[in-house]
Amino acid sequence: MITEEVKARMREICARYPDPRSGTLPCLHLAQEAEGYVTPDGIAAVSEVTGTKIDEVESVVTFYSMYDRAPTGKYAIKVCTSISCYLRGCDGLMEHFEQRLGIQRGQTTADGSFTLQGVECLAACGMAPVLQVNGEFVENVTTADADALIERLKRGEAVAAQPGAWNVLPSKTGASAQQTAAGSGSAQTGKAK
Amino acid sequence: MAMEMLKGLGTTLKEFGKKPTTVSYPEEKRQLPPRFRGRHVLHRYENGLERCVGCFLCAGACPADAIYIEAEENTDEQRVSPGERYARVFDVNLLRCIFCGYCEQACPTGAITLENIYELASTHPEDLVYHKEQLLEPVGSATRGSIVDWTPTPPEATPTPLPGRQGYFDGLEASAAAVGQGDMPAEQAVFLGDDLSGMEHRRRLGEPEEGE
Amino acid sequence: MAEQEELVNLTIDGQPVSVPKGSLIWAAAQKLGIEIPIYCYHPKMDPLGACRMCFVEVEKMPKLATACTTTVAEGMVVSTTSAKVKKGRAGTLEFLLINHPLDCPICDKGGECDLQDFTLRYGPGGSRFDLNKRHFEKPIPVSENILLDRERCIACQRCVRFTQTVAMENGLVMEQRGFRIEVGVDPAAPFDSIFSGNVVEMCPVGALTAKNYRFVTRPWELKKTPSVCGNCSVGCNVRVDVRVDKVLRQYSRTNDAIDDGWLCDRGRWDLDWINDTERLRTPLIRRDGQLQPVSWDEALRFVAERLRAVRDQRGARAIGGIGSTHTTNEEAYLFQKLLRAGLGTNNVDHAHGRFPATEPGALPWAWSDSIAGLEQASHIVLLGADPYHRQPIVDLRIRKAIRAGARVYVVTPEANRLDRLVAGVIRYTAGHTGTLARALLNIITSDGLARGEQGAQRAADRRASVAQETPERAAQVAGVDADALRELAREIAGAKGAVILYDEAATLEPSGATLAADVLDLALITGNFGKPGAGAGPLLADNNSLGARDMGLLPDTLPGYRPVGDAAAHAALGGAWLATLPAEPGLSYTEMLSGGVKALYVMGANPARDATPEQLAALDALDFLVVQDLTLTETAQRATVVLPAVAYTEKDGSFTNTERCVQLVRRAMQPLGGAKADWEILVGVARALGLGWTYLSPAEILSEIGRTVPLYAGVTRRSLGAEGVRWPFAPGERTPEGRATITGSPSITWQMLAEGVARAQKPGGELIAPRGRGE
Repeated sequence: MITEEVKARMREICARYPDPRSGTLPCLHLAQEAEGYVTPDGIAAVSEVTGTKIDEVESVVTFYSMYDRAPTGKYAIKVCTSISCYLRGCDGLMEHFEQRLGIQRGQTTADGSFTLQGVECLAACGMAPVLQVNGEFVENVTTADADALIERLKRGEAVAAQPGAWNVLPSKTGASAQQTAAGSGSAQTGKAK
Repeated sequence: MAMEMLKGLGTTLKEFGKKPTTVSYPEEKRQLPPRFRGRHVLHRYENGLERCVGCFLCAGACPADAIYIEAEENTDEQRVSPGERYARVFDVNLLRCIFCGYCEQACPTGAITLENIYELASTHPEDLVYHKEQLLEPVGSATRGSIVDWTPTPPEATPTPLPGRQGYFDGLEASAAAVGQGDMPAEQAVFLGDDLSGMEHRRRLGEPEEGE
Repeated sequence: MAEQEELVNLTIDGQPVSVPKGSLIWAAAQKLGIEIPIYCYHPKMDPLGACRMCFVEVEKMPKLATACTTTVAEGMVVSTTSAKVKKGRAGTLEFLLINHPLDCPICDKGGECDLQDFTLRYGPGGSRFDLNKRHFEKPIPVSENILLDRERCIACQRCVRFTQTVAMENGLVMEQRGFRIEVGVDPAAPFDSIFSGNVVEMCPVGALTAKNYRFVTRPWELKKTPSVCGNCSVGCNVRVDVRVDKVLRQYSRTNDAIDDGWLCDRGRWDLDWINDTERLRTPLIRRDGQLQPVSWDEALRFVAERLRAVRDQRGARAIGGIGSTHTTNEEAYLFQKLLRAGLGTNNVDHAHGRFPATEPGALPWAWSDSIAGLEQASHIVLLGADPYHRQPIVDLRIRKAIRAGARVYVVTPEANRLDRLVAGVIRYTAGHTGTLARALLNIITSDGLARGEQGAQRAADRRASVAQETPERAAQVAGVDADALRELAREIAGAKGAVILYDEAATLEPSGATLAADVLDLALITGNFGKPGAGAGPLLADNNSLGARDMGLLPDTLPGYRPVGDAAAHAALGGAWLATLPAEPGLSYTEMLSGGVKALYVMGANPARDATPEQLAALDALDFLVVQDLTLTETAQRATVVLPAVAYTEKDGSFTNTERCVQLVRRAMQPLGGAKADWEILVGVARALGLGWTYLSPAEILSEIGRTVPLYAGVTRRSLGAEGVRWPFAPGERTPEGRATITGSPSITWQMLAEGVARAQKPGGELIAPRGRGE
């Protein structure tokens, strides 16, 4: 249910643009924030506020991986499965996550803490393979990184050790250069601090 | 004069002991070559489904306009051929047919072949319009027919139009599989991004829901 | 086309070509007849550049360019056949075919599929892709009429762009991204547009197919005939696709002036009435209370005998004829000729009845501008009109005008599909369209909104007649918002070019007797007349509503709207027809149905369907009733003689559409066995009456129309060509071969209608619902 209050905020956002249609993306974020994921109600509300047709909003929602069409767990892990990440071994990474979490891609763990998804390109090909946890990027992910990430999240810690350094995982700060899932660690070590 | 007669008789006598080239039809029947083109036969797969998918290509190839087809959609309740489409009506007008064999060349599934059936006589012209029931091989038999004799052996390592199908693209196996892919497991529907809305959509269109 | 367009010169494959600045390479190649394969591009839509099929090599450009997105430049040298281009296209096709199922033998598109054709012409022989293809559940319905097979889709987005940008309706959208991309519909926004069938036609593969065309045939089995759609008054150019003895579909045959390349679902698929198994196959004569099959000879002789008997006993005025708004011009012409010249009566009318102000000497209330002219309009006002349901392709053109910036006002009693898109919506109580028109006139005349000398003059003439019709009164009577009307009047008066359209049916409302004249005055006074993108006129109901009137299916006018009492017309027509014509006006549709005649000849009309009990009783009381129709309609069931006729797909002829364009209809199939075209039947009856008619074909009849009807002067079957001609015809010129040509003028001018306006104020006309033949 999208409250009038949320709609009012949406209208406020749309008012900033010459064409209210331009406010579609931020409004969808608001709708997702309000309900946890983008519901048909949310789409209808955005369509009403932005003056676009419902199916156009729907199309936008499915285009962007940051909008969820179903409830997710506490942490939504979105692994990029597009070509750069594929060449750098995202398949292995995905399988590792599936084994580790005991779920298939597209599912949520029984305790409701993790949701695993394969998504289209996250636009960080230079640091493939990449994933996103609740919108935060994690790059150059190895299977060891994946394990460490899950441990950190289970302990309730932040995705990255230092704020702002979201692409650097604690495991990479150590001297031991980890092999990436694709087995090529040279680029990785060069980049690691 | 007498000399010529004797010469002629001599020829007769020479042939006398030889095996005759005629046969006493219909008691005896002649052995026909494997590529003889007689009446059409519609073939089946091992599982009893018809090979014909009602594609009209034979009718299109027919120079005599002898084939008339009406196609229809397979349903789960009534599956006639693999895939979506089958021929509900398949008529061959053997009075028009010139037995050229273009239909079997055109057929993408090897469903129609011209066989050694040549006893085609009738006092009623309409009897010579053969319907699908008469052309189909009986349930339980699944032959390939004369196409086996016509098709050359596929060379090794020729391009494959379909995965998992090695060998020569002979227009038979390969596209038969393509049109018969209704049997293959479909990927989970990702219509509209998630199953939920897909189901809603089907509900709206009055279709039965999956898993009910 | 008056101003000189700036031309750009370039060379494609060594051939020089000049095209207007801003053209695409694709269009330039098209002009030279060089094929550049396209999937995502569609000439009627903006370029997208998604499919990468139209690669060409442009000199000095490092990479291959897409011909559908690259505009031409001076001195450009383009190659469409270089090795690089060939390799590029083959590569694109190899990619497109990676997930394509290659199920061509069972695909409805197989045989007319761009993917098939271009793969044969430009594609690689095989594929290097040896993994499994994607599989989806197939097919899934995306609407009531259309199925989607996602395996076959190549994501060109033509369908999506059509529904979103051309039709501007809820419809198909792209879902997901990257390799997951697919076409879908939102369940909350069902794809129920009347334009939906266009996506099936434009889909370059077999991803979108029509449910009612599913597996019924293959393209090479079809006989394809260029013709004109007979389902509404727009007259879209179509290709009729027939297999053996069934019309399976109509496809668009692009005529930019009329349909802009689109076709509505009704025109595309609503053809079951032609294939109806209930159609009549033999003439019937009522004997012992039962309609019994008889031979054509017997039926025609019987009809002639009985008509002659009624005429001899009760006089020619006891015979009447109700013609059709669905039959061809030739048939309408022969019908009134049979009654006027053959039987000597002016009792000829059609279902709409007397059309307002078809007074002696005046032109009818035809649309003074054109469908294409809507694109140039700055304002469009729909007065009681619902083109989406009644003239769909006009509605689509209005949408195009909206995209071009036109302000559209929908003034209708009920919700309209355009409401969402327009500048203003005004609602009122049904039946008061005329009240609104007069209120608008009142505002314009009393607020001094007239423009130009002619406008001021006309405003002065009309001021008194609408003085009582204030918007406040309209608000009271018709429940309309008076302020909204005032705003609308000001918009019209200030418009660069306004088109005001009303529905033909609105003129039959109790308040609508003077609607046609009032709306025309509205346009005249506000200076919106006689130029492209401005004007007024009715949206007619049936495929030949206008042609029927042009051909004189009216009790008071001869063909070409010459009064029945006009001595000159009598001399000319009587001479041509070798007959003395009756001079006094005949009975109208309603008068004939209220016992005014003893014998009634009905051609392609069904008056009994919408008749009142009194009218039914009058029909039953007739001495003699002849009906020509496809099926045993309500009227035919009451007939003495029923003569089986054929549909427009089974005969040659011409239709005149709502914007005055006369177009050829061609026979697309063998007539149903036993049935005859209406013109053949009429000739048969005339011959049985001893009239000595010798017409052998509709072409001959049309030539006679060209000679005897000034409005259609010079028309021959040949002169109409592929895309028709609009009346009034400009004076003919002679081609070098000595053949007369005629050119249609786009707009009716002030002079043409001035006389008609003066005679406009005419009461009369009851509400009769427009009807369709074979519906």
